[in-house]
Amino acid sequence: MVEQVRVLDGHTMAEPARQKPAAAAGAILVPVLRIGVPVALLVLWEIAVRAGIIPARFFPAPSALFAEIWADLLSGKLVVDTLSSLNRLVWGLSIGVVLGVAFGMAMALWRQVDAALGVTVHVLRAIPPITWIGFSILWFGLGNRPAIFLIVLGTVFPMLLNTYAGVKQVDVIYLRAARNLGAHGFLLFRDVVLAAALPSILTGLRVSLGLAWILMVVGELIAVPAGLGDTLMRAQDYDQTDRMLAYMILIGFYGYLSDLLLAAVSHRLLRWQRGIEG
Amino acid sequence: MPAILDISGLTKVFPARHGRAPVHALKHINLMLDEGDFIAVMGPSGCGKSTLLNIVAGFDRQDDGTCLVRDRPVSGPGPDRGMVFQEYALFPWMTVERNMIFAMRAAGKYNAEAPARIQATLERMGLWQFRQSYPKHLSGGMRQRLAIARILAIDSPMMLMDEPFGALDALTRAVLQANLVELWQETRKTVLFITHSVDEALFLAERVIVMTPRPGTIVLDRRIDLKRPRDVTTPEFNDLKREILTMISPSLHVPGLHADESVI
Repeated sequence: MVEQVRVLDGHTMAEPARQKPAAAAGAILVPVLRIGVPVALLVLWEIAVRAGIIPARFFPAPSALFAEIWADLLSGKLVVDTLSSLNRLVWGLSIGVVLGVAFGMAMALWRQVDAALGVTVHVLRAIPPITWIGFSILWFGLGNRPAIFLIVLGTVFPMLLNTYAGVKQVDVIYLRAARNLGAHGFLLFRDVVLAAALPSILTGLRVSLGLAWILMVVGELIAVPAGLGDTLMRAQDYDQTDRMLAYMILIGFYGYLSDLLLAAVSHRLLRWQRGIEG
Repeated sequence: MPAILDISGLTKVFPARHGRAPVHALKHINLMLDEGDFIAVMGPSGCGKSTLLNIVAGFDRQDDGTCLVRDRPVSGPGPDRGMVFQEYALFPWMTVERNMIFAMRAAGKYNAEAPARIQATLERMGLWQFRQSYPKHLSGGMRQRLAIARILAIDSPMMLMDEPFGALDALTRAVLQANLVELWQETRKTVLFITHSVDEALFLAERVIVMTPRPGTIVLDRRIDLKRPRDVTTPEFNDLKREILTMISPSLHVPGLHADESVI
């Protein structure tokens, strides 16, 4: 239980007594809710299916999903599918991030580039990426490339817009101070412009990561004969509802894990923004 | 002594905006600054003192006249005129030590001796034990000591200070003023110090320039020969203060303005 809080000058100060019961209740309640509610949902779901309230053919029980995942894990299929999907995700996201940051920087730093590309960028970003699926197969055929293309299209614009906004928001005092010290060129760009825009760029990355998962699965459902999305599609064709729902939830879980990982990395990179406890 | 700064006929007009008349921020300013001198430019808001400093720093350009630093016209900002900003202008994403390293890299002075120089400078400014801290965790006084340390590390021959202690509480301000005098006596860097406080100008400077607004002109240029360490409570100090306030008060349209500041 938290008895004392640290304050900025490093001294400690007793927390006001009247706040204690509320804080203590929160300290126990929050972790209980975090784990307890999802577990309770799973238990209720299992009971509902076993009691026949929900027909198993339409909505399989959690135990059936765990059994499915366990079997696919033992057979090695799950690992192969996951690695195959991750490969496309990483390629698509990396290309989207590099292009988005580069164009966002260029547009924010040079007014001429902004004027030349602004309208095109805003029209292109308003086209739902999924609608490109026809052309992606037409241009790239079946395989990794159409899926990667979709991910690039989905991630490049959030990266571009967030980078642009981040650079535009850099306080002019930092640029003045850096130029006064003699900074120019790459040092000014990397240590001042990029560093100051980093919080905004990381926000864009978090949005892009979520979109990349969605577009990866969409691409695999239609254009890739491998990966989690492909397995999901085949399960649908053969009416394997256990595997369908198991892979859907698995994809959701992967998305959540990758977001947690990125949040942890952001937390570390942006520790200068936080208080002394950070 | 040779002049490090030579300003002549300097004029700056901010164009008319929103139906208001153009502002003559500076009108035919002439000013010579000797190497190693400590000069304070003081005056009320809008007298053009910050515009003057921004032109010397290379952040702004004059409309007429010349601004020479060591006989060369100012063409942009540079580490030969290290600036200390009122807003500190430290990089919040760098630790104290990283801020120092960046300054030396930017100035092209990061060499084998740089780490030792950084340590010595931070120790001199009482910041070495905080080298891993981010600016956010430093007090206002410590932040401004770091901003000064940064300029010391790159060894700027001229220090430009734009109301550097304006955002600090009176006690911290007094300590930093005393520190700055010691530092100047040790290093004999040329200091161009902008302030709106008469006490601050008289406590710090060897020479005080008084400016008045509309248009921004120099109305007094006076050498201050009070012996150091200076005592702000002596009659001599108050005589000088009265002389300067008398110069400024007509421009403020406040008859009989007296000591309006309780700094120090």
